[in-house]
Amino acid sequence: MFFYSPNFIVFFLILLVPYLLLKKQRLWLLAAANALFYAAHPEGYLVLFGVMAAVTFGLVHLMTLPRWRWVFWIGIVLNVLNLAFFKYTLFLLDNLKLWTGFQLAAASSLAESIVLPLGISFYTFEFISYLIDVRRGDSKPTRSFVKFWVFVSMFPHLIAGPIMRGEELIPQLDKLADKRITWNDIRYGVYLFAIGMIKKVIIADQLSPIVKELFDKGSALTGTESWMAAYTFSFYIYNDFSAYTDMAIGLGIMMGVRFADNFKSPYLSGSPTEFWRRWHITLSRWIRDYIYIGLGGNRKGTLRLYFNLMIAMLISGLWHGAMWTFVVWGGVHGLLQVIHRLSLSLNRWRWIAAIREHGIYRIITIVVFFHIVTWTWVFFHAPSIDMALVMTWKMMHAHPDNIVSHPLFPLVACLFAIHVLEFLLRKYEGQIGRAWRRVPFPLRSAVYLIVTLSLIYYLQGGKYEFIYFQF
Amino acid sequence: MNSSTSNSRSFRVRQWSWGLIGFLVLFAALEIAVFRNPDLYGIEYRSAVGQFAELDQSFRHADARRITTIILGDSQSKDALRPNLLAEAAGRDADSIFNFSISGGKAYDIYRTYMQYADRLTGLKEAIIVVNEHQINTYNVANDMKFRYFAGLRDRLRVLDAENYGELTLGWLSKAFDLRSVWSKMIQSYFKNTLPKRPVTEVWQPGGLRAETQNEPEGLTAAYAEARADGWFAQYNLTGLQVESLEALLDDLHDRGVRIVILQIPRSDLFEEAVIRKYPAEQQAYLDKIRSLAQQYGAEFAVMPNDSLSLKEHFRDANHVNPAGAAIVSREVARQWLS
Repeated sequence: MFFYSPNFIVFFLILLVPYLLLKKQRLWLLAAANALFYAAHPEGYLVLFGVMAAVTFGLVHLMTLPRWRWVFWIGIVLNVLNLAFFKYTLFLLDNLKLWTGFQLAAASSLAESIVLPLGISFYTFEFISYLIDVRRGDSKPTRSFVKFWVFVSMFPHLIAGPIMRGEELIPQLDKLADKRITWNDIRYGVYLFAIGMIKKVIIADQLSPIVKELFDKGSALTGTESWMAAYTFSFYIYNDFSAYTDMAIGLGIMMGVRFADNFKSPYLSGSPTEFWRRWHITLSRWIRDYIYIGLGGNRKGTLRLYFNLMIAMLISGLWHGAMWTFVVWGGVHGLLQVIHRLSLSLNRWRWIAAIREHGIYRIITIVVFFHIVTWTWVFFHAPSIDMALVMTWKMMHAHPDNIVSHPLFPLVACLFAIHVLEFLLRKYEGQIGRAWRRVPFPLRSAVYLIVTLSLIYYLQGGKYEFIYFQF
Repeated sequence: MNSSTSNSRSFRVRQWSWGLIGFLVLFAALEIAVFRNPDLYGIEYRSAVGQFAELDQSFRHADARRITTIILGDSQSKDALRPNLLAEAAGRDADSIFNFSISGGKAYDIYRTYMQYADRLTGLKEAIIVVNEHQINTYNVANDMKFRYFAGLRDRLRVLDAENYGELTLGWLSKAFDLRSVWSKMIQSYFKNTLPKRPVTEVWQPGGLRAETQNEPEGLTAAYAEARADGWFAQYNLTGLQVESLEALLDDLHDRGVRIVILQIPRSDLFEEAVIRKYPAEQQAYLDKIRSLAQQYGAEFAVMPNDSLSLKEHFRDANHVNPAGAAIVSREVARQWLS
């Protein structure tokens, strides 16, 4: 049941009516709806999820008792092992076999047939963050399991984020029964959901076959084609993933819950640090707060800072999937962060600091860093590191004239322009909204109609999926 | 725009409401005037849904009161039982016979097509229902655009399941959504300039849909025959909507006092061999079902042999006759079953 599938739309409409009417029963309605939503997916292992939620909830309460603080570690280990078992067992076995020639599990054994439970990477991180937050005293443990279950399983963010924290969501759930959901909330939720639908159905899904065709060429790709593959994938993954987040936030608002933002026009970043403040924000802050700071952050000297950055980004890469390509992708981003940190020391020369303040410099860094990020996506999406290196080599030798004259280049330029437009739309949302309301209503109605028919036109069905579901 | 700001809520609601109301009015108008209008789909009358517009054109030009014999079936009977050939062989007026057969027709589509015109067939005396194994297989009915075209809420509820409830419910609310694959293909065809050059008002012929006459590529090979058989018998299910539709059709005709003949018209040896080899039990179940229905509603049931037909001369593919084959089959049907 993916957000833009007809099944989900009907499911949500059926839920929304009693949800709006029966305010006191909202939490129970959500608890049941979340379980139903998760179980409806073929890879939705509800029992496993429920057991992990119950165990984590129990451990959190136990560790608040005197002399039981140590059970925190049981919670951490259990959650890490659960994720590691489902996500990394095959990876470990394959690598063990590759490096040592030793095959630990038979080809047809259970280990070889492990299926990744839907959303496990996301809910495990939420369990861990809850354990840590309670231990640190940042979050007060809720006494209600239903509330805890709704926090971790709330369907809009369950399977592809945003990765929420207890302190963000549980206080909102406390007030849910009294929350007045206005027509304005519904309208804004629908608006965000529609934006997400447009990004997913009209942009990402149309880019998907182009990306596939290019990457399928493998080593036959030319340098220019490699750039086109990387460019189109950049916009594909952004529009696919951010569309999911937009829809999730929109759905949350319609239910009186505000989820954290996950994207802020990431391709308009001028540095790797800025990029990670704009891309998959809730994962970045999770990595920052629980890994990078946990390792000491910048408090233990410069070398340790760089080491911590690398470790954090390598884990971020590995979180995306049990493949070396993801690890390398994370490593490259770690390296970029280290280089950026090093380059900041140049600011001690005032003229360099002054240049960096200039608008033109900002534009240049955005263009340059967009191309660097685009290149890193090659490691993210290529089937192997070898392939990514071949593409990288070819990209280095591509001639700019060929890139600009490639038939796909106008599409890429157009996608970048849409990205900028989205940034402006979000930045000036209030003003645009007020101006929009001054447009004569027949014209507004006609625009709604065109958008609706366009979505229906592109919503051909048969395949409803988001790329981040696999993580 | 921010959900948390509400300086003048009533003003905002009023503003939003007009845009929303305008949208709903426009959408409803489009639904009624365009997406629920068969003439839209008639622009591409070769499509599964568009063919109904061509059939309607043909019927509109017929004198319904003079029609005494109807043929109901799918593309097999559309190609094989030509009203002019039947009339000639039976020594009748051609306008006394109308062929309601539709391409890809399944029992539900055939029944709903018949019901659309039944009231106007005041002189109806006999009906030839051409059946085959495919027509009463209920598998995947919800994804059939012809089903979507006809089905109301009750029929949708009969085939609703955990996989398709969203499609069927939203499709019931909006034909724009329900038949999106049909009209979106029409738009694509328009931009590719592959829509039919002549409108349906110019191409229709008397007595029902035009027969297909061109040979299918590779249509006369064993591989093609096997692929067709596989398609017909996929997850073979003789319960539910399709069989019930056939029964409803027979019931209605029987209640009207119409003489009913149920026929299985000839298919090529290639096809028969593929079916016998791979799906003998399913075929037997189908034959048993049709026999029992025929008995229940006082209909005659016959399986026509293909002795007088040769693959290369009389078939355009493994289970459709060509014009030469149609002449033979029509003559034989007229001789044996048309009074």
